Amino acid sequence: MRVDAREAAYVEFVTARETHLRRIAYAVCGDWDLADDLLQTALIRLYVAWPRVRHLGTEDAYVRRIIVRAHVDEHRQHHGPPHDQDATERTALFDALQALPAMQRKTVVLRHWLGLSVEETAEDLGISTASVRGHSSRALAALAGLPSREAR
Amino acid sequence: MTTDLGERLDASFDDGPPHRPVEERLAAGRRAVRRRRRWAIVGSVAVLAALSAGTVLLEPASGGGGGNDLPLPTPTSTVVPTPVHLLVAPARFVRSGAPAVLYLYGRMYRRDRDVTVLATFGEIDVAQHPQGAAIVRVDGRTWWVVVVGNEPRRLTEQREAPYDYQAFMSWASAEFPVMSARLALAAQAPGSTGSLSDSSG
Repeated sequence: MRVDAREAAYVEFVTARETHLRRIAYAVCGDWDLADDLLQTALIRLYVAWPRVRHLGTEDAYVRRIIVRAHVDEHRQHHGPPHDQDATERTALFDALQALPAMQRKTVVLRHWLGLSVEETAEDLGISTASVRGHSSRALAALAGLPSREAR
Repeated sequence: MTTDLGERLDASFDDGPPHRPVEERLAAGRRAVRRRRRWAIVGSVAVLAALSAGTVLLEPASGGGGGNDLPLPTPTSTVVPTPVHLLVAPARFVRSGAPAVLYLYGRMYRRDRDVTVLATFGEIDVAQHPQGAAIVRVDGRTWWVVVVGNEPRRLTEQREAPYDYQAFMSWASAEFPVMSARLALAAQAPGSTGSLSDSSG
């Protein structure tokens, strides 16, 4: 009975949040297949930790943190940037985001897209607030060269 | 600027392809919980075994050999297990000499369609410190395989052996700590190239 209730709550959360969470993964890695794998890995760990995380009410943050801390960049070094075979809709801004170094990209995603504070961003990425400010500053400078409204 | 950037980022890509069925996510979660419980049991057994072995280690050595090789088991069952479903690794990530199962981003894959996975053991889906083992059949031969670490930084041990899940589990659980330590040491070694890869049978 308790398992049923646990799984019902888990399914409710996954159904409601998986699109948003996978978009975070996609913004971090730029590849839908990889984003799906990242989300799946994070959701498996969430399932295991569900009673504790649910009790704290930090489900979104728990999954998000696993996604942004995943080691996707080591792979980029060896195989080059992943290419998106699905050819979905994305803009020059998104491509510019993907061209940023990993920590700058993740900082932009957390700080400027999701609207986390500097402290929250630092906590998610496991770095200092000063580092977050530095990454943020450099990333914004790099993105500043783009037209304000870019066409695809 | 920030709010505007946030809105532009939000509009810069769509929602992507359809999601996996939620049942698949549930099933994966249940498997992870079962693995975790199995590990807890194995860990308890290992502690007891270590405590027992402690008294043996105090005795003078009486013979060479040893190492961490367990004796090859004899088949204990003629039951043919149902193959375990593992995705086939994208070909562009599979280098020559890749083991029968391998990790990409913390997820275990089959090397190619010729690999049939009969059983798995260990933390099969783990992003940061992947380690897992599998009994596989390739070209009519059965192998035990242990893999620690994401491609291309991984260590592999494999041996040809009959299907015996209990013996396989004992062997794999003994290999995990040894290989994890070797991988960590290699990663920290001066002059490490970051391309550690090893396979031995």
